[in-house]
Amino acid sequence: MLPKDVNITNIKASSKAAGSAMQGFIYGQIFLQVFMKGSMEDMWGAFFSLQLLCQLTLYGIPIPANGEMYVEQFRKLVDFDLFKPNNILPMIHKGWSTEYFIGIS
Amino acid sequence: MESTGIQSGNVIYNMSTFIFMGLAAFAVFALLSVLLLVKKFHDKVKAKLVDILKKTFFNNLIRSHSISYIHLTVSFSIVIYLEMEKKEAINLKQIAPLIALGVLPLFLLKVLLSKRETLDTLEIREKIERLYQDIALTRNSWTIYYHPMFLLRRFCFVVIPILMPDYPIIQVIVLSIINLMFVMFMGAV
Repeated sequence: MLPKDVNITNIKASSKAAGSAMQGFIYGQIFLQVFMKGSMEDMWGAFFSLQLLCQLTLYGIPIPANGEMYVEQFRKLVDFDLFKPNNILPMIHKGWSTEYFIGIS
Repeated sequence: MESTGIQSGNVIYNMSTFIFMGLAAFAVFALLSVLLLVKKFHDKVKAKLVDILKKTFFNNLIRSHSISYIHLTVSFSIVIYLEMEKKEAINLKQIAPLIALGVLPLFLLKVLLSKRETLDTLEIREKIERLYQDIALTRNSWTIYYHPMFLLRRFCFVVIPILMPDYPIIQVIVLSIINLMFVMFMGAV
């Protein structure tokens, strides 16, 4: 639950912007480093830290709602949301989805 | 379960992004293999394929595994968690993948220890450098333990809260101890 004076729309917009910026930064870095043949170790270090950060919600400890919103956005990055089959398969064939191939509803 | 980002009790569904990316990589390999049959491209493609297999295949496999390790552990742990929630007996088939994931760092450690003397050679670096990248091999004999410890820490980080959901205090204490030990390890080597 958010404190009284906090505007949920602003927080959501801010967390989304942070998530998008982080995604843009990481994907951009991957793209550039692949072509420039540079080391991506530092970037992977940040990525692995974010992975742990996103799994903090597994713990039975309440975290502030605004923090959770940021974690949600970062999770999109560490889960490679951009490459989710459900975003790509319908572009190849209408009606295709992960559920369709696995056979679950 | 939703708060963890996991959407289903189905491991294949949860891992669909990684499986999809793996299939995409396989498709590229398949395409290159088909190009081998075309005389015009045969020599170029063969050289490229041999290069990939020799220099980047195992390293990329290790990196892909490191990236998906935590997600895989969560997915398999969630299966057990759901069974526990239904108060049903957990069978070996459900717990075996999780045990395998827990044992894997030890297997990697065995690989590293068995090749300790040759880790710095070009041939081994081209194959499994990702297991000890950016690590000073000569500074301390414990430095090669870094990657297995790194994976083991992630394994414990995920498995403990999922398998002990009703004990948040124990979760936090164990998390603190694991973090402390990891920091001590990092400081010592």
